[in-house]
Amino acid sequence: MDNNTIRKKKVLLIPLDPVHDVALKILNRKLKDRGHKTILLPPDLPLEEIISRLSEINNLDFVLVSRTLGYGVAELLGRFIDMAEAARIRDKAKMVLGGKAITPQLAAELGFDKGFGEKTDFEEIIAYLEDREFLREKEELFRKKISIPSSHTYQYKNNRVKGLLNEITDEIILWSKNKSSPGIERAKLRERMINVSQDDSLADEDKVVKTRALKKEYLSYCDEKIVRFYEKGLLPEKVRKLSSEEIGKLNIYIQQQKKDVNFKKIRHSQSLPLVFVQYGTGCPIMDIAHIKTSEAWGADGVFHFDPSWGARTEGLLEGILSHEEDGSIISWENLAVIKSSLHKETIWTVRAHRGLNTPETAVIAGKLGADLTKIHMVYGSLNGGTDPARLTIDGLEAIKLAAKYNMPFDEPTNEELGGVPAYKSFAGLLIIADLALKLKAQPILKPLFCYSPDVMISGKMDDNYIDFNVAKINSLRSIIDAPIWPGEPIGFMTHSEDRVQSSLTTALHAAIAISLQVDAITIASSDEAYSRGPISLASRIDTLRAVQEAFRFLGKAEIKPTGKAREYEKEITKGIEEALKKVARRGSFVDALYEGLLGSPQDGAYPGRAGRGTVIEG
Amino acid sequence: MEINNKVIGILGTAKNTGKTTTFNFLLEWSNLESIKVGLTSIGYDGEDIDNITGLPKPRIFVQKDNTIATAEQCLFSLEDKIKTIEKTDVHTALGRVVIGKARKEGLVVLAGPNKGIELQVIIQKLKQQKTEIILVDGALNRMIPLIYCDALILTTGASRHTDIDLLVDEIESMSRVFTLPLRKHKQVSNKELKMYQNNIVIIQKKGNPILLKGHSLINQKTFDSLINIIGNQECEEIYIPGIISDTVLKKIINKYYLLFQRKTIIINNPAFLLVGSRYIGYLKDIIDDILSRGIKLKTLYKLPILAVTINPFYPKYSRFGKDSYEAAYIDEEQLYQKMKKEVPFPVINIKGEGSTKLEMIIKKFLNISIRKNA
Amino acid sequence: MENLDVFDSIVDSLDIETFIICHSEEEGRRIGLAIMEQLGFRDADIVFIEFLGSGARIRIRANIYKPGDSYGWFDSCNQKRDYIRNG
Repeated sequence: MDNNTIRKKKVLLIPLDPVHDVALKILNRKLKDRGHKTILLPPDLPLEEIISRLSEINNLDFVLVSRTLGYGVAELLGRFIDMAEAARIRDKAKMVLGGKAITPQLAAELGFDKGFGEKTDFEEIIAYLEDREFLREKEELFRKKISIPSSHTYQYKNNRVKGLLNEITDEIILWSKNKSSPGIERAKLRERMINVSQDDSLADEDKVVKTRALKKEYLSYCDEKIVRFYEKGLLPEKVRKLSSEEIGKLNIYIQQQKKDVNFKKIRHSQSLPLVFVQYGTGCPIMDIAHIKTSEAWGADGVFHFDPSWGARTEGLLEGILSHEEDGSIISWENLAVIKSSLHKETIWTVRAHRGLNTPETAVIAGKLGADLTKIHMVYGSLNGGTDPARLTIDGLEAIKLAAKYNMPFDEPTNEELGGVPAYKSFAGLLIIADLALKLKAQPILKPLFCYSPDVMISGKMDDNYIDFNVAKINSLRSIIDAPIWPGEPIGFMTHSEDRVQSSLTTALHAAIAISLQVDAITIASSDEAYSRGPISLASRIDTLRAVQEAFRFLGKAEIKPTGKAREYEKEITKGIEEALKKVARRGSFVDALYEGLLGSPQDGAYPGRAGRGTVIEG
Repeated sequence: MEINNKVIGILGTAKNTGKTTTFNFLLEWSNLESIKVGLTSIGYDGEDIDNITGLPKPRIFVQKDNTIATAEQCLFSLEDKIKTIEKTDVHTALGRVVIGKARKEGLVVLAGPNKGIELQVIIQKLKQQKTEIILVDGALNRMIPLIYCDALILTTGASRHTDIDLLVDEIESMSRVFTLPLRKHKQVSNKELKMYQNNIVIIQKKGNPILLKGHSLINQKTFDSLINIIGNQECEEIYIPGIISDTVLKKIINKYYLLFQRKTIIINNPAFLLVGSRYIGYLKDIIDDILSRGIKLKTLYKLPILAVTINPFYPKYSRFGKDSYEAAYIDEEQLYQKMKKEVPFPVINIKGEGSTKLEMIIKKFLNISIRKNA
Repeated sequence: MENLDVFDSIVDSLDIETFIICHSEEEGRRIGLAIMEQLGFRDADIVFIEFLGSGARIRIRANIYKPGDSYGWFDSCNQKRDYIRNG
């Protein structure tokens, strides 16, 4: 109904509170803007005076009274309503009561025609006055899934770096020819197994037979632990299957959760960054509770965090499984049930990236329709414990799969946490990005906003946490136009166990992120620094609220770094070029990894051992 | 026993003065006597926790076939227990008022029409359902819609004031107002006078009535124009269809009584006079002063007060109680004795043997079929 | 109650920050206060509550000492207490 077809009303607004009523004044302005005739009385008039004035006004449609409850207030309002009726005001005008603690029941008891509580949308009140239905934005979610890379061109701006990267990635592609690994073989088999189970043209018995054959081959590439599970049903330590009762209840729970969609908007006047949280309590039920609550409190996306031992074990388990410690197990069934709980506009990342199951995880993620994945061979092999050669070949396959399943992927430079200087980790970052582009994938750069060991030693954050983080982003932006998503989480190493400090540092780092207009951020809970137990749901809400507040505070304004930022930026860019030169000169990416050119033992980076010697030649 | 379909309203002076207890007593009695009863309220009642204090409250227990008029939102939890007869066009803050019949016994929440003209409509609809007595529960200290009842029961108690003398003063004032005599037909008939709803009417010895702008005496402007006219004309009666504030009455007593001597001030009904006073307790003295100055006070409409029920309970704010309020009591006997002495209506402590007394009063009332008005 | 000795060392309030599964804000408030009641605290209040989705984020406060009370910790300031009596 457009503004012109609504009959204009005459509304009297009465602040009965002794102090000025802001809400009533705002409502007054909004009603005037919509063309209604309003009269706003001054506050704290005696009742007789109000009634007297009221009875002198003709054709009044509504009387809006605003009053907070207190001792004796109910009786005062009761008398006011009586007087209004005795003065014949109620013959024509409707009496509306608004204020803190006002409910429809209270309004009815006091004799008003309508009551609105403190948290009522102004739009709802206006709709009532205009006699039209108020439609809450229920199913109309204000956020829609967006593709993070879509607003970037991936054009290089630094030709030196471009040239070096080109050399390096050509070599990687060449090196990888005719190589495979157990991980890659498993990925292929997994893909075929999934295809079989989803093939409607096959009869059930055929499916069983085919799957059995594929599974047998699959197991030939798995570790003892995994084989034991498939053949004898023995689960690894601290892992249990969810009972069928639990699964039944879980499905009902998911259906219930999806009914009432009422999400908060975390952004204010900017459309970026997207806000991601990670889940991985170990239990899919608890994860889903966390995910749904995070969605409600404004998270745009969630990503799956799996147990660390998963990276070191050849092969994935099956079934809906619960894990007693941090990290939720990656299995087709676990991921499927979690996917089923997500709102359709929630972005879902499944991380492949640092272990022996990298390509297989990419297959499962892709088949389940994950939006994004995570792949980084440099971090995974220098800080994540996987053998460089193995991870390079697996990662490459994973990148191809990511491209195939249309999943952009992010590359987390977590080696920085081990001590590797930012410029070196960025060199690695850009190599993988360039590789991805050649393979028609969409890489997302993930520098860290962290208080890293290198920064502690070099003193770059002695004064503030802003300059160096800004320098990182600007340096990357000066090289290539690619999506940037700081994480995981922002503010890493600045959190303490104190809830306020922890939430605040997350919010402040979010402020830098929004000021720089990066594409997305991953935020921690306020339990980030607490290591003796799982993350609590309350602590997740803490940081979502804190970030929302930071976004509100900053709006479209910016944070201004000192001149140091420019200095650091130049240093980083120079460092990237130098590191890349060294790698290019070495002529072998994998060897460069082993030899520490992208992160050395002095830096705190050690080539991983998991999967050493498992690359299959020819 | 001839019943004659009376409407009895329960008027409370404050929350927690025993309205719902009295209401429930009457309801129970009606059901025991197999009198077909219709129920509604002018507010919201029947909840088990008080909206404001959080203390438990009595709830309304209906029997099969009791007819009720309540807001649709109050029927949500009742579903199959109440059969909907009609969804009226009377709106409340909890939705439209629905006329229904109880299919079986149970607890209900009554949220009825919030203004007099709509209460009249609902009363008619209840009567259409062949009720023999209609009970209207009050809400808070609200009274205006209840003047459309045939009789009232006042409830008061420590929840209004913990000072017994103040309580008694108040009920005394209310009694003085409710016992004001009916205006008798004069040169201008009552029927004609009742038609003037929007103007103060000044009836002269000779000539046509003069109409003032405004229906209530609550501001200086209207009072001044009234004084002017009375000063210049020979008038006999002044009819105020709306509210008269106590401030104006005090002005009349203190400064202008000579102008009003031997004249009659006519109010529309007792409630309109009561509502104009911030402190009802002083009204009795004001009325006495007016009358002693030779000014007459009459009313156009009247309804009887059958009884006053008293309740010694009040919610006391406590730091350690549930939701910060706990139950407290004043001296019941003292309250009863003092009230009985000063108030011309039967005083009843509903929780004691007073209930038998109330039964007798109601029986007597229901057998009387003359409706008291001009 | 002997156990109160432990709570004597709290200056004023004891807050519980948590997330409660409930169907409405009112239910969340009731549950919050009931939690404090069951824990034995008679003077409690909801400092903050936000209901969204499946439940409410809540901060419940039990007032141990309010200004004007006789403070348990004040007396103990003047003594050396290096033990806690068992109830």
